[in-house]
Amino acid sequence: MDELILKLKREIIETLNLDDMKPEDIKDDEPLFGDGLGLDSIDALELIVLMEKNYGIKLRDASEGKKIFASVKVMADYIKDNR
Amino acid sequence: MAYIVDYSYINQSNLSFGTSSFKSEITENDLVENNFLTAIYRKQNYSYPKFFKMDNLSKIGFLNAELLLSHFPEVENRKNAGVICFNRISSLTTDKNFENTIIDSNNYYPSPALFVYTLPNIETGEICIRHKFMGESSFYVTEHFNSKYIADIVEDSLKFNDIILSGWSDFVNSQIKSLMFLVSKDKSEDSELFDSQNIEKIFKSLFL
Repeated sequence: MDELILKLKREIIETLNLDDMKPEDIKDDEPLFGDGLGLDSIDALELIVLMEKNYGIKLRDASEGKKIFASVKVMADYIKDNR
Repeated sequence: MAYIVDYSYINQSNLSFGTSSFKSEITENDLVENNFLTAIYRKQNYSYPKFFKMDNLSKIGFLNAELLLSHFPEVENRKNAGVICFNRISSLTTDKNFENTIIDSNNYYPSPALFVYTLPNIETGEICIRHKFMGESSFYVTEHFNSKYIADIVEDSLKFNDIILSGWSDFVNSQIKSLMFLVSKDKSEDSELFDSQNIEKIFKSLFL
């Protein structure tokens, strides 16, 4: 699980061009949107593409993203249960 | 009438950037972990995380605006400040990058982050958002740096805007050549006219 979380953090940094960040800067339970990493709606779409491209998980309902992208840990749990 | 308040430039062919009164260079060492535009961003100690999400055209606009407006903070938040940019190849580089995400039907993952930059006027929009400009925002695609056309458009726009950021951002043999002017309808003591002759002279002095 820790490996998946670290991999996800690296992918998020690369996909969303968070050039000033390192994996250790993202806390496992930190919100990705709003006060956390401050991601925006385009980033949410990129995360949806990332889930499909890298993990074969297609989110049929975009509103699901709100729950799934709550934090890196929640994302990792969702991937583990659905891949 | 239109007057040049100042100008900024970015010239990748000799790794230089600056304004009329300040010149800096990017060294090979600066480029070890950064591309040219990111090296300028880091050298100037700017702090605007959205920069990293922009395409090169918007990064050029952002950097030019920062270089210029850091000397003129009174321009920030001006209701009647506008941005008018010009270039030759529109957003073609980003268009191609986006196309690469959809060209293979077996690897078809259109990138939303690339798609939002597949219009050149996103550059002017990014500058307006950053500096809270609420005047005109427009982008023209022309065959070459047409100084008369640029001067005429900007002078006309100054009928409705107090101050305009106007620039040329292009790539020649993949090398960035960009020049941006801060143009006012008010004349100051030593300001030059923003006319075809003067902007052509500055363009040639920097790039030819």
